[in-house]
Amino acid sequence: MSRFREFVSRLTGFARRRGRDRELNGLHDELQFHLDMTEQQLRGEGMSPGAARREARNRLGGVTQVAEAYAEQRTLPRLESLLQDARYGIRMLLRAPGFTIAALTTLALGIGANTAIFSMVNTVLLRPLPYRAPERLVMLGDREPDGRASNIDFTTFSDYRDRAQTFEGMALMRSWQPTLVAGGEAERLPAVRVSWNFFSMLGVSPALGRDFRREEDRPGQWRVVILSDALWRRRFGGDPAVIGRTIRMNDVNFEVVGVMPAGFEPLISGHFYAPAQIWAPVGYDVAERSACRGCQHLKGFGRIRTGVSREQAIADLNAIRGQLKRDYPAAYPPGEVTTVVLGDAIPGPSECRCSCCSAPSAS
Amino acid sequence: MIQPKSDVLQGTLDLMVLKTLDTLGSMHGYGIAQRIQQASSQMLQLNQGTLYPALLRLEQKGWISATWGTSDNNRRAKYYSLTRAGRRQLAREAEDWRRVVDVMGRVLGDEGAS
Repeated sequence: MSRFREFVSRLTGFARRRGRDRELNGLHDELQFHLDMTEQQLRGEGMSPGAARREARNRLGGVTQVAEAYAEQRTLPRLESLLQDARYGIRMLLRAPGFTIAALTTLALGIGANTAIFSMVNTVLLRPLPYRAPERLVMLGDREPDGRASNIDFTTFSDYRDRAQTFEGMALMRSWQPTLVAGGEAERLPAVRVSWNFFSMLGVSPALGRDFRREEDRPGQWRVVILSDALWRRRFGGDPAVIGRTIRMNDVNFEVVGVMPAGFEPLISGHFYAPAQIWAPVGYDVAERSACRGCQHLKGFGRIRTGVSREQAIADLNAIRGQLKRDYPAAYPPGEVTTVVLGDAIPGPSECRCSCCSAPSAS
Repeated sequence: MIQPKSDVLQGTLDLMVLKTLDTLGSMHGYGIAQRIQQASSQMLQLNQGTLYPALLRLEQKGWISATWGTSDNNRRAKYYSLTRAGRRQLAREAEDWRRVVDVMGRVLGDEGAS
Protein backbone atom coordinates (compact mmCIF):
# COMPACT_ATOMS: atom_id res chain seq x y z
CA MET A 1 0.00 0.00 0.00
CA SER A 2 2.75 2.45 0.96
CA ARG A 3 4.63 1.34 -2.13
CA PHE A 4 1.60 2.24 -4.21
CA ARG A 5 1.31 5.58 -2.45
CA GLU A 6 4.94 6.30 -3.20
CA PHE A 7 4.39 5.44 -6.86
CA VAL A 8 1.35 7.71 -7.10
CA SER A 9 3.29 10.47 -5.42
CA ARG A 10 6.18 10.02 -7.84
CA LEU A 11 3.75 9.98 -10.73
CA THR A 12 2.21 13.20 -9.47
CA GLY A 13 5.71 14.61 -9.19
CA PHE A 14 6.28 13.62 -12.79
CA ALA A 15 3.01 15.15 -13.96
CA ARG A 16 3.74 18.37 -12.10
CA ARG A 17 7.20 18.83 -13.48
CA ARG A 18 6.56 22.56 -13.72
CA GLY A 19 6.18 22.75 -9.96
CA ARG A 20 9.61 21.17 -9.60
CA ASP A 21 11.60 24.38 -9.41
CA ARG A 22 9.47 25.73 -6.59
CA GLU A 23 9.81 22.47 -4.71
CA LEU A 24 13.56 22.32 -5.22
CA ASN A 25 13.79 25.91 -4.03
CA GLY A 26 12.06 24.67 -0.93
CA LEU A 27 14.72 22.02 -0.59
CA HIS A 28 17.45 24.62 -0.95
CA ASP A 29 15.88 26.67 1.83
CA GLU A 30 15.79 23.55 3.94
CA LEU A 31 19.42 22.70 3.25
CA GLN A 32 20.53 26.27 3.84
CA PHE A 33 18.81 26.17 7.20
CA HIS A 34 20.60 22.93 7.96
CA LEU A 35 23.99 24.41 7.01
CA ASP A 36 23.42 27.57 9.00
CA MET A 37 22.40 25.64 12.07
CA THR A 38 25.40 23.33 11.86
CA GLU A 39 27.73 26.25 11.34
CA GLN A 40 26.27 28.07 14.30
CA GLN A 41 26.69 25.01 16.47
CA LEU A 42 30.30 24.48 15.40
CA ARG A 43 31.15 28.09 16.08
CA GLY A 44 29.60 27.67 19.50
CA GLU A 45 32.09 24.87 20.00
CA GLY A 46 34.88 27.32 19.27
CA MET A 47 35.53 26.80 15.54
CA SER A 48 36.51 29.73 13.36
CA PRO A 49 33.77 31.03 11.00
CA GLY A 50 35.50 29.76 7.83
CA ALA A 51 36.28 26.34 9.27
CA ALA A 52 32.75 26.01 10.65
CA ARG A 53 31.25 26.73 7.19
CA ARG A 54 33.52 24.19 5.51
CA GLU A 55 32.82 21.57 8.15
CA ALA A 56 29.06 22.16 7.87
CA ARG A 57 29.17 21.61 4.10
CA ASN A 58 31.40 18.63 4.64
CA ARG A 59 28.92 16.99 6.96
CA LEU A 60 25.97 17.59 4.65
CA GLY A 61 27.82 16.19 1.68
CA GLY A 62 27.28 18.60 -1.21
CA VAL A 63 24.11 20.56 -1.89
CA THR A 64 24.05 19.61 -5.59
CA GLN A 65 24.28 15.90 -4.90
CA VAL A 66 21.54 16.10 -2.31
CA ALA A 67 19.34 18.06 -4.70
CA GLU A 68 19.92 15.46 -7.40
CA ALA A 69 19.09 12.55 -5.12
CA TYR A 70 16.05 14.45 -3.92
CA ALA A 71 14.85 15.20 -7.47
CA GLU A 72 15.31 11.56 -8.36
CA GLN A 73 13.21 10.45 -5.41
CA ARG A 74 10.62 13.08 -6.31
CA THR A 75 9.64 11.66 -9.68
CA LEU A 76 10.07 8.68 -11.99
CA PRO A 77 13.61 9.13 -13.30
CA ARG A 78 13.38 6.56 -16.03
CA LEU A 79 10.15 7.97 -17.46
CA GLU A 80 11.56 11.46 -17.21
CA SER A 81 14.81 10.66 -19.01
CA LEU A 82 12.90 8.64 -21.61
CA LEU A 83 10.82 11.70 -22.40
CA GLN A 84 13.93 13.83 -22.57
CA ASP A 85 15.57 11.36 -24.94
CA ALA A 86 12.48 11.26 -27.14
CA ARG A 87 12.29 15.04 -27.29
CA TYR A 88 15.97 15.23 -28.12
CA GLY A 89 15.60 12.56 -30.82
CA ILE A 90 12.68 14.32 -32.48
CA ARG A 91 14.53 17.65 -32.44
CA MET A 92 17.57 16.10 -34.09
CA LEU A 93 15.44 14.37 -36.72
CA LEU A 94 13.63 17.61 -37.55
CA ARG A 95 16.95 19.41 -37.85
CA ALA A 96 18.13 16.99 -40.57
CA PRO A 97 15.05 16.22 -42.71
CA GLY A 98 17.09 14.67 -45.53
CA PHE A 99 18.67 12.19 -43.19
CA THR A 100 15.31 11.55 -41.52
CA ILE A 101 13.63 10.75 -44.84
CA ALA A 102 16.50 8.48 -45.89
CA ALA A 103 16.42 6.67 -42.56
CA LEU A 104 12.65 6.28 -42.59
CA THR A 105 12.66 5.07 -46.20
CA THR A 106 15.38 2.55 -45.39
CA LEU A 107 13.41 1.28 -42.42
CA ALA A 108 10.15 1.15 -44.36
CA LEU A 109 11.71 -0.71 -47.29
CA GLY A 110 13.52 -3.09 -44.98
CA ILE A 111 10.42 -3.91 -43.02
CA GLY A 112 8.31 -4.14 -46.15
CA ALA A 113 10.72 -6.44 -47.97
CA ASN A 114 11.00 -8.60 -44.89
CA THR A 115 7.25 -8.86 -44.57
CA ALA A 116 6.84 -9.66 -48.25
CA ILE A 117 9.54 -12.31 -48.19
CA PHE A 118 8.22 -13.84 -45.02
CA SER A 119 4.64 -14.02 -46.27
CA MET A 120 5.86 -15.64 -49.46
CA VAL A 121 8.08 -18.08 -47.62
CA ASN A 122 5.24 -18.77 -45.23
CA THR A 123 2.72 -19.60 -47.93
CA VAL A 124 5.06 -21.19 -50.44
CA LEU A 125 7.67 -23.00 -48.42
CA LEU A 126 6.69 -23.47 -44.81
CA ARG A 127 3.16 -24.67 -45.12
CA PRO A 128 2.62 -27.77 -47.22
CA LEU A 129 -0.26 -27.40 -49.62
CA PRO A 130 -3.34 -28.79 -47.93
CA TYR A 131 -4.02 -31.30 -50.68
CA ARG A 132 -3.58 -35.05 -50.91
CA ALA A 133 -0.06 -36.02 -52.08
CA PRO A 134 0.69 -32.51 -53.35
CA GLU A 135 4.05 -33.55 -54.78
CA ARG A 136 2.25 -35.32 -57.62
CA LEU A 137 0.05 -32.35 -58.49
CA VAL A 138 1.33 -30.39 -61.47
CA MET A 139 0.30 -27.57 -63.68
CA LEU A 140 0.70 -28.50 -67.33
CA GLY A 141 1.03 -26.55 -70.56
CA ASP A 142 3.61 -25.43 -73.12
CA ARG A 143 6.94 -24.49 -71.63
CA GLU A 144 7.30 -20.73 -71.41
CA PRO A 145 10.79 -19.18 -71.76
CA ASP A 146 10.91 -18.70 -67.98
CA GLY A 147 10.04 -22.34 -67.34
CA ARG A 148 6.43 -21.83 -66.42
CA ALA A 149 3.57 -23.74 -67.95
CA SER A 150 1.46 -21.71 -70.36
CA ASN A 151 -2.30 -21.46 -70.41
CA ILE A 152 -4.07 -24.17 -72.31
CA ASP A 153 -7.16 -24.45 -74.51
CA PHE A 154 -10.04 -26.75 -73.79
CA THR A 155 -9.70 -29.02 -76.84
CA THR A 156 -5.97 -29.69 -76.43
CA PHE A 157 -6.55 -30.26 -72.71
CA SER A 158 -9.30 -32.77 -73.55
CA ASP A 159 -6.89 -34.63 -75.86
CA TYR A 160 -4.24 -34.77 -73.14
CA ARG A 161 -6.80 -35.93 -70.59
CA ASP A 162 -8.20 -38.65 -72.83
CA ARG A 163 -4.91 -39.98 -74.19
CA ALA A 164 -2.29 -39.59 -71.45
CA GLN A 165 -1.43 -42.82 -69.63
CA THR A 166 0.80 -41.31 -66.95
CA PHE A 167 -1.86 -39.25 -65.16
CA GLU A 168 -4.49 -40.29 -62.68
CA GLY A 169 -6.60 -37.33 -63.64
CA MET A 170 -6.59 -33.85 -65.08
CA ALA A 171 -8.63 -30.76 -64.24
CA LEU A 172 -9.13 -27.23 -65.48
CA MET A 173 -9.59 -23.80 -64.03
CA ARG A 174 -10.64 -20.48 -65.50
CA SER A 175 -11.21 -17.06 -64.03
CA TRP A 176 -14.69 -15.84 -63.25
CA GLN A 177 -16.14 -12.71 -61.68
CA PRO A 178 -19.83 -13.21 -61.04
CA THR A 179 -21.92 -10.54 -59.37
CA LEU A 180 -23.95 -11.97 -56.55
CA VAL A 181 -27.23 -10.25 -55.75
CA ALA A 182 -28.61 -11.29 -52.38
CA GLY A 183 -30.52 -9.45 -49.71
CA GLY A 184 -30.70 -6.33 -51.91
CA GLU A 185 -26.92 -6.11 -52.06
CA ALA A 186 -24.84 -6.71 -55.17
CA GLU A 187 -21.26 -7.88 -54.82
CA ARG A 188 -18.68 -8.86 -57.37
CA LEU A 189 -16.99 -12.01 -56.12
CA PRO A 190 -13.53 -13.37 -56.81
CA ALA A 191 -14.35 -16.78 -58.22
CA VAL A 192 -13.12 -19.53 -60.48
CA ARG A 193 -14.77 -22.11 -62.63
CA VAL A 194 -13.25 -25.56 -62.39
CA SER A 195 -13.81 -28.89 -64.06
CA TRP A 196 -16.14 -31.16 -62.13
CA ASN A 197 -13.32 -33.35 -60.80
CA PHE A 198 -11.10 -30.46 -59.65
CA PHE A 199 -11.71 -30.86 -55.91
CA SER A 200 -11.57 -34.64 -55.93
CA MET A 201 -8.31 -34.52 -57.87
CA LEU A 202 -6.83 -32.24 -55.18
CA GLY A 203 -8.17 -34.61 -52.57
CA VAL A 204 -10.56 -32.23 -50.84
CA SER A 205 -14.31 -32.39 -50.58
CA PRO A 206 -17.03 -30.01 -49.41
CA ALA A 207 -17.77 -29.81 -45.70
CA LEU A 208 -21.43 -29.38 -46.45
CA GLY A 209 -23.48 -30.63 -49.39
CA ARG A 210 -21.71 -32.33 -52.28
CA ASP A 211 -19.07 -31.97 -54.97
CA PHE A 212 -19.83 -31.16 -58.62
CA ARG A 213 -21.06 -33.98 -60.87
CA ARG A 214 -19.76 -34.92 -64.29
CA GLU A 215 -23.05 -34.05 -66.00
CA GLU A 216 -23.00 -30.56 -64.49
CA ASP A 217 -19.74 -29.75 -66.33
CA ARG A 218 -21.46 -29.16 -69.69
CA PRO A 219 -22.70 -26.12 -71.63
CA GLY A 220 -25.95 -24.91 -70.14
CA GLN A 221 -25.72 -27.33 -67.20
CA TRP A 222 -23.15 -25.57 -65.05
CA ARG A 223 -25.53 -23.41 -62.98
CA VAL A 224 -24.43 -24.95 -59.70
CA VAL A 225 -22.03 -23.42 -57.19
CA ILE A 226 -19.94 -24.34 -54.17
CA LEU A 227 -19.35 -21.58 -51.62
CA SER A 228 -16.25 -20.86 -49.60
CA ASP A 229 -16.72 -21.12 -45.85
CA ALA A 230 -16.05 -17.37 -45.51
CA LEU A 231 -18.68 -16.39 -48.10
CA TRP A 232 -21.18 -18.81 -46.58
CA ARG A 233 -20.77 -17.24 -43.16
CA ARG A 234 -20.62 -13.66 -44.42
CA ARG A 235 -23.53 -13.63 -46.82
CA PHE A 236 -25.64 -16.60 -45.78
CA GLY A 237 -25.27 -16.47 -42.00
CA GLY A 238 -23.60 -19.87 -41.92
CA ASP A 239 -27.03 -21.46 -42.45
CA PRO A 240 -26.77 -25.15 -43.43
CA ALA A 241 -30.13 -24.80 -45.21
CA VAL A 242 -28.29 -22.88 -47.92
CA ILE A 243 -27.74 -26.23 -49.68
CA GLY A 244 -30.34 -26.50 -52.42
CA ARG A 245 -31.14 -22.81 -52.31
CA THR A 246 -31.15 -20.78 -55.51
CA ILE A 247 -28.97 -17.68 -55.68
CA ARG A 248 -28.89 -15.11 -58.44
CA MET A 249 -25.66 -14.06 -60.14
CA ASN A 250 -25.38 -12.10 -63.41
CA ASP A 251 -29.16 -12.47 -63.81
CA VAL A 252 -28.88 -16.25 -63.86
CA ASN A 253 -30.06 -18.64 -61.18
CA PHE A 254 -27.51 -20.96 -59.59
CA GLU A 255 -28.19 -23.74 -57.16
CA VAL A 256 -25.93 -23.94 -54.12
CA VAL A 257 -24.75 -27.55 -53.86
CA GLY A 258 -21.89 -27.33 -51.38
CA VAL A 259 -19.76 -25.37 -48.93
CA MET A 260 -16.02 -25.96 -48.70
CA PRO A 261 -14.42 -26.52 -45.27
CA ALA A 262 -13.02 -23.51 -43.43
CA GLY A 263 -9.53 -24.96 -43.66
CA PHE A 264 -9.66 -25.27 -47.43
CA GLU A 265 -7.46 -22.61 -48.87
CA PRO A 266 -8.02 -21.77 -52.51
CA LEU A 267 -4.26 -21.61 -52.88
CA ILE A 268 -4.12 -22.41 -56.55
CA SER A 269 -6.70 -19.86 -57.67
CA GLY A 270 -5.16 -17.39 -55.26
CA HIS A 271 -1.86 -17.63 -57.09
CA PHE A 272 -3.40 -16.84 -60.46
CA TYR A 273 -6.36 -14.65 -59.62
CA ALA A 274 -7.73 -13.74 -56.21
CA PRO A 275 -8.51 -16.48 -53.68
CA ALA A 276 -11.86 -17.78 -54.87
CA GLN A 277 -14.95 -17.35 -52.74
CA ILE A 278 -17.24 -19.32 -54.98
CA TRP A 279 -16.80 -22.08 -57.57
CA ALA A 280 -18.85 -23.30 -60.52
CA PRO A 281 -18.06 -25.89 -63.22
CA VAL A 282 -16.24 -24.82 -66.38
CA GLY A 283 -19.12 -26.15 -68.51
CA TYR A 284 -17.35 -26.32 -71.89
CA ASP A 285 -17.49 -28.84 -74.69
CA VAL A 286 -15.27 -29.02 -77.75
CA ALA A 287 -18.00 -27.60 -79.99
CA GLU A 288 -17.92 -24.34 -78.08
CA ARG A 289 -16.26 -21.39 -79.81
CA SER A 290 -14.09 -20.57 -76.82
CA ALA A 291 -12.86 -24.17 -76.84
CA CYS A 292 -10.81 -23.74 -80.03
CA ARG A 293 -7.22 -25.02 -80.27
CA GLY A 294 -5.68 -21.57 -79.89
CA CYS A 295 -8.07 -20.30 -77.25
CA GLN A 296 -5.53 -20.68 -74.49
CA HIS A 297 -7.26 -19.09 -71.54
CA LEU A 298 -7.47 -22.02 -69.13
CA LYS A 299 -5.12 -23.40 -66.51
CA GLY A 300 -4.55 -27.14 -66.80
CA PHE A 301 -3.67 -29.34 -63.84
CA GLY A 302 -2.95 -33.00 -63.49
CA ARG A 303 -2.15 -35.64 -60.91
CA ILE A 304 0.76 -37.84 -62.01
CA ARG A 305 0.27 -41.54 -61.30
CA THR A 306 2.12 -43.07 -58.36
CA GLY A 307 5.45 -44.49 -59.50
CA VAL A 308 5.61 -42.34 -62.61
CA SER A 309 8.36 -39.72 -62.78
CA ARG A 310 7.77 -36.18 -63.87
CA GLU A 311 10.04 -36.77 -66.89
CA GLN A 312 7.94 -39.74 -67.97
CA ALA A 313 4.79 -37.67 -67.64
CA ILE A 314 6.30 -34.86 -69.72
CA ALA A 315 7.44 -37.34 -72.39
CA ASP A 316 3.95 -38.81 -72.47
CA LEU A 317 2.37 -35.39 -73.01
CA ASN A 318 4.98 -34.38 -75.61
CA ALA A 319 4.20 -37.46 -77.63
CA ILE A 320 0.55 -36.45 -77.68
CA ARG A 321 1.43 -32.86 -78.54
CA GLY A 322 3.62 -34.05 -81.45
CA GLN A 323 0.74 -36.06 -82.83
CA LEU A 324 -1.63 -33.07 -82.47
CA LYS A 325 0.86 -30.80 -84.25
CA ARG A 326 1.02 -33.25 -87.13
CA ASP A 327 -2.78 -33.36 -87.28
CA TYR A 328 -3.32 -29.60 -86.86
CA PRO A 329 -0.07 -27.91 -87.96
CA ALA A 330 -1.54 -24.41 -87.97
CA ALA A 331 -2.80 -24.65 -84.37
CA TYR A 332 0.52 -25.37 -82.65
CA PRO A 333 3.71 -23.33 -82.69
CA PRO A 334 7.00 -25.14 -82.17
CA GLY A 335 7.39 -26.00 -78.53
CA GLU A 336 7.11 -28.64 -75.93
CA VAL A 337 5.07 -29.45 -72.88
CA THR A 338 6.20 -28.95 -69.32
CA THR A 339 4.77 -29.79 -65.93
CA VAL A 340 5.40 -27.64 -62.91
CA VAL A 341 4.96 -29.21 -59.52
CA LEU A 342 2.39 -27.36 -57.45
CA GLY A 343 3.40 -28.46 -54.06
CA ASP A 344 6.05 -30.28 -52.12
CA ALA A 345 6.10 -30.30 -48.36
CA ILE A 346 9.89 -29.91 -48.68
CA PRO A 347 10.96 -28.46 -52.01
CA GLY A 348 14.08 -29.93 -53.56
CA PRO A 349 16.99 -27.56 -54.12
CA SER A 350 16.85 -27.84 -57.90
CA GLU A 351 13.13 -27.40 -58.15
CA CYS A 352 11.14 -24.45 -56.96
CA ARG A 353 7.96 -26.20 -56.23
CA CYS A 354 5.83 -23.21 -56.98
CA SER A 355 7.40 -21.35 -59.86
CA CYS A 356 4.00 -21.56 -61.47
CA CYS A 357 2.43 -19.85 -58.59
CA SER A 358 3.89 -16.41 -59.32
CA ALA A 359 3.69 -15.35 -55.73
CA PRO A 360 4.51 -11.65 -55.48
CA SER A 361 8.13 -11.92 -54.48
CA ALA A 362 10.78 -9.36 -53.79
CA SER A 363 12.98 -10.69 -56.60
CA MET B 1 42.88 2.35 18.81
CA ILE B 2 40.15 4.50 17.29
CA GLN B 3 37.25 2.51 15.93
CA PRO B 4 36.07 3.80 12.53
CA LYS B 5 32.48 4.95 12.68
CA SER B 6 29.95 2.56 11.14
CA ASP B 7 28.09 3.62 8.07
CA VAL B 8 24.36 3.75 8.49
CA LEU B 9 22.98 0.41 7.40
CA GLN B 10 20.77 0.41 4.36
CA GLY B 11 17.16 0.68 5.49
CA THR B 12 17.92 1.57 9.11
CA LEU B 13 17.81 5.30 8.41
CA ASP B 14 14.05 5.12 7.88
CA LEU B 15 13.60 3.40 11.21
CA MET B 16 15.79 5.94 12.99
CA VAL B 17 13.89 8.85 11.45
CA LEU B 18 10.54 7.35 12.42
CA LYS B 19 11.72 6.69 15.96
CA THR B 20 13.17 10.18 16.28
CA LEU B 21 9.92 11.80 15.18
CA ASP B 22 8.04 9.50 17.55
CA THR B 23 10.20 10.81 20.39
CA LEU B 24 10.42 14.48 19.43
CA GLY B 25 6.99 15.00 17.92
CA SER B 26 7.50 17.58 15.19
CA MET B 27 11.03 18.39 14.06
CA HIS B 28 13.01 19.86 11.14
CA GLY B 29 15.70 17.98 9.18
CA TYR B 30 18.59 19.49 11.07
CA GLY B 31 17.03 18.56 14.39
CA ILE B 32 16.44 15.01 13.22
CA ALA B 33 20.06 14.67 12.12
CA GLN B 34 21.28 16.08 15.43
CA ARG B 35 19.10 13.78 17.41
CA ILE B 36 20.18 10.67 15.50
CA GLN B 37 23.84 11.47 16.00
CA GLN B 38 23.36 12.24 19.68
CA ALA B 39 21.33 9.13 20.29
CA SER B 40 23.96 7.02 18.57
CA SER B 41 26.63 8.62 20.83
CA GLN B 42 28.37 9.91 17.68
CA MET B 43 29.16 6.33 16.70
CA LEU B 44 27.31 6.59 13.40
CA GLN B 45 28.70 8.23 10.30
CA LEU B 46 25.50 9.78 9.04
CA ASN B 47 25.88 11.43 5.69
CA GLN B 48 23.40 14.15 6.54
CA GLY B 49 22.65 14.81 2.88
CA THR B 50 21.01 11.41 2.51
CA LEU B 51 18.50 12.43 5.15
CA TYR B 52 16.51 14.70 2.86
CA PRO B 53 15.72 12.24 0.07
CA ALA B 54 14.83 9.78 2.83
CA LEU B 55 12.44 12.30 4.37
CA LEU B 56 10.82 12.79 0.97
CA ARG B 57 10.53 9.02 0.51
CA LEU B 58 8.87 8.61 3.92
CA GLU B 59 6.52 11.45 3.07
CA GLN B 60 5.64 9.80 -0.25
CA LYS B 61 4.90 6.56 1.57
CA GLY B 62 2.56 8.46 3.84
CA TRP B 63 4.46 7.71 7.05
CA ILE B 64 5.40 11.29 7.82
CA SER B 65 3.92 14.66 6.89
CA ALA B 66 5.66 17.99 6.38
CA THR B 67 4.70 21.61 6.96
CA TRP B 68 6.64 24.83 6.83
CA GLY B 69 6.99 26.50 10.21
CA THR B 70 9.28 28.79 12.22
CA SER B 71 12.29 27.53 14.12
CA ASP B 72 13.41 28.50 17.65
CA ASN B 73 15.72 31.13 16.19
CA ASN B 74 12.88 32.55 14.10
CA ARG B 75 13.83 31.04 10.76
CA ARG B 76 11.62 29.36 8.18
CA ALA B 77 12.06 25.59 8.46
CA LYS B 78 10.27 22.52 7.24
CA TYR B 79 8.85 20.48 10.11
CA TYR B 80 8.16 16.78 9.86
CA SER B 81 5.89 14.72 12.04
CA LEU B 82 4.79 11.11 12.24
CA THR B 83 1.43 10.11 10.74
CA ARG B 84 -0.78 7.35 12.06
CA ALA B 85 0.47 5.02 9.33
CA GLY B 86 4.01 6.02 10.27
CA ARG B 87 3.37 5.03 13.87
CA ARG B 88 2.19 1.59 12.76
CA GLN B 89 5.19 1.27 10.45
CA LEU B 90 7.52 2.18 13.29
CA ALA B 91 6.05 -0.55 15.50
CA ARG B 92 6.43 -3.07 12.70
CA GLU B 93 10.01 -2.12 11.80
CA ALA B 94 11.14 -1.92 15.43
CA GLU B 95 9.77 -5.41 15.99
CA ASP B 96 11.56 -6.70 12.88
CA TRP B 97 14.76 -5.05 14.02
CA ARG B 98 14.61 -6.60 17.47
CA ARG B 99 14.04 -9.98 15.94
CA VAL B 100 17.06 -9.57 13.65
CA VAL B 101 19.23 -8.44 16.56
CA ASP B 102 18.05 -11.38 18.62
CA VAL B 103 18.77 -13.87 15.85
CA MET B 104 22.18 -12.37 15.12
CA GLY B 105 22.98 -12.46 18.83
CA ARG B 106 22.19 -16.17 18.98
CA VAL B 107 24.14 -16.93 15.83
CA LEU B 108 27.17 -15.04 17.09
CA GLY B 109 26.96 -16.83 20.45
CA ASP B 110 26.24 -13.62 22.34
CA GLU B 111 29.93 -12.76 22.37
CA GLY B 112 29.41 -9.02 22.41
CA ALA B 113 26.33 -9.05 24.63
CA SER B 114 28.13 -8.86 27.96
